[in-house]
Amino acid sequence: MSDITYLPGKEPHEKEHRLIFRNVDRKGWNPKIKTYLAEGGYEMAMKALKMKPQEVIDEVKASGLRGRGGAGFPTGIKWGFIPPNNTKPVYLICNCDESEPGTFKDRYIAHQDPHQLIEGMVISAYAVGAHVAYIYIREEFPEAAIILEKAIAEAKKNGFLGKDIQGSGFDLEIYVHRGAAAYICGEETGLIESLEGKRPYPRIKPPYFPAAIGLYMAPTIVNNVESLCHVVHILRMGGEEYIKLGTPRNSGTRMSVFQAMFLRGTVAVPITFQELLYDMCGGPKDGRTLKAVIPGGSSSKILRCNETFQIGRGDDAEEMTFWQLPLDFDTLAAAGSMAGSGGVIVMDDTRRMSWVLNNITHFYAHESCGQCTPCREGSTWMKKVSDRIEDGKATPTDVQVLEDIAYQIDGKTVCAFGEASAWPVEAMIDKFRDELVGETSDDNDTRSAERIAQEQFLSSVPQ
Amino acid sequence: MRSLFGILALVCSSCSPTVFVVDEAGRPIEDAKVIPMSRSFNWPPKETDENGGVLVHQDLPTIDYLQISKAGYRNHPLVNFNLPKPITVVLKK
Ligand SMILES: Cc1cc2nc3c(=O)[nH]c(=O)nc-3n(C[C@H](O)[C@H](O)[C@H](O)COP(=O)(O)O)c2cc1C
Ligand code: SF4
Repeated sequence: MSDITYLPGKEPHEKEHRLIFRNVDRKGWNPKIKTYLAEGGYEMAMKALKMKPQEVIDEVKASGLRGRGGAGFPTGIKWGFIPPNNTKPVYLICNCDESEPGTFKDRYIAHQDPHQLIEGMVISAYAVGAHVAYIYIREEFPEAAIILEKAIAEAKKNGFLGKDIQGSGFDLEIYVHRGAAAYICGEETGLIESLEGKRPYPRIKPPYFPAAIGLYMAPTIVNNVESLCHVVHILRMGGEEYIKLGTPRNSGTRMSVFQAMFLRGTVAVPITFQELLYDMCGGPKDGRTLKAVIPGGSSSKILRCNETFQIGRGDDAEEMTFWQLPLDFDTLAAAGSMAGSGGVIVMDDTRRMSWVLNNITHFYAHESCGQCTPCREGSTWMKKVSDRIEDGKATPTDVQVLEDIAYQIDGKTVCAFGEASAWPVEAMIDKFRDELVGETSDDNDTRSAERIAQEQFLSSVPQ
Repeated sequence: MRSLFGILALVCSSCSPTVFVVDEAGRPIEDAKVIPMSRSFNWPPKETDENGGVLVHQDLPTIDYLQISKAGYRNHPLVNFNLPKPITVVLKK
């Protein structure tokens, strides 16, 4: 890595361990296959094609790789869910919808290192027995879609895609599919519906677990861009070595992107918030203090920077300050939040939380697909109540109303969007209730204009 | 000379309080907390003086509201900062 140089101002921090982002912002690097091949590109695909598919799956299982799309589901285990007696075609889908607010990691790969993704897809498709794969890319990434299409054409020309890849007997076609410009198209079953040309209404699980009943009702593996790229490095390093980059249950590196202070990188887990926000990002601006962090995209629960947490259970329980928390899947879950999509949103003491809350509720109200009532109605009500709080027109009861609505959505919907919209609201109220209530007043009149007009009319009518 | 008076008047008006906080009887409330706010930011809180006054200048990003509070009084609705100055705010018990 030492012989690699980066563009001025884009050099990695000494604590960064660049695995997936090795070639991002690298001097002299371009997304062409010639550049990729010059550094051993596609060698791991060739290695995989000489192995048995089950051996590839076993290596990924041994690596402990957990999906980087949000839920952190173990990738090798997911691949093993394809029914053993399956007679239908198997599909692989790369989820490049990347629409979680605060997250913009996959885009860098698509723009600057598309062959890393294609190589990961060749290996993964071979492992799961797919001969057709799709890259579902969000509509708002038009340039990335063109780059990926060019890269696929190059890979095909060089014999790394298409029929009988490098004489292995394995065939694979990859198609780029432009998304429908909606957040819900990132939810895997909504994505599948969209890919089938329909409105992206998520499917109910069970029975529609994609690995069993997915695209065209056939077994389908949906993986995030970053997850698929990790597969290349797992084959190169071996699962056992890969684990050592992190911890057994939180293996490998993890890409984090930041808003407020800016850094892109693959941070070897478990780096702590102190290391990340102060050592690597340089801390807050002079005279300011950090107030709160949303650790894994807008759907994850907000954490206060002055909190302490009880991590672990029984005798193993350990008290940790926010700053001591490592950014891994398990610790963040134990702290009541999640590592999610890796988009870290940082807020300092000047940030008005009612505005943050309002910003988030607007997003979810706009993006709800509308299929189920608690989410469709609840997200809109949450937006309306948080509008009132932000405008200074709410009463203290409104904060309670907002919290009640959120808990009415949580766990009562077809897809996880319901939780994604409710959790940030629940956590924001839990952590910043005083600040929110402080912006309300009993003297505010929350009646609508229609209600006031109706009451005036009724009082003017003789009894 | 006239322009000098003009400048002096401008300087004096720019240092006199722009917000007064009083109780229902019109008595000034000292040490009331005043937080200037834009839609997305909070400025550091200020406190009223013995005359219930505090100087808040318009700033960037634009200040839209003031949040005014004092222990023992009810929360006041957010005050629109774009009203003609000085703004008088009545806190109720
Ligand atoms: C509302 C919603 C939006 C999602 N958006 C994305 C997305 O943009 N990209 C992504 O990779 N996963 C997204 N997911 C997660 C996917 O459903 C799926 O779990 C993931 O693509 C699986 O990949 P992984 O196992 O590699 O993490 C979303 C989930 C939900 C509920
Ligand atoms: S939870 Fe929301 S986004 Fe998901 S299916 Fe229901 S309405 Fe659609």
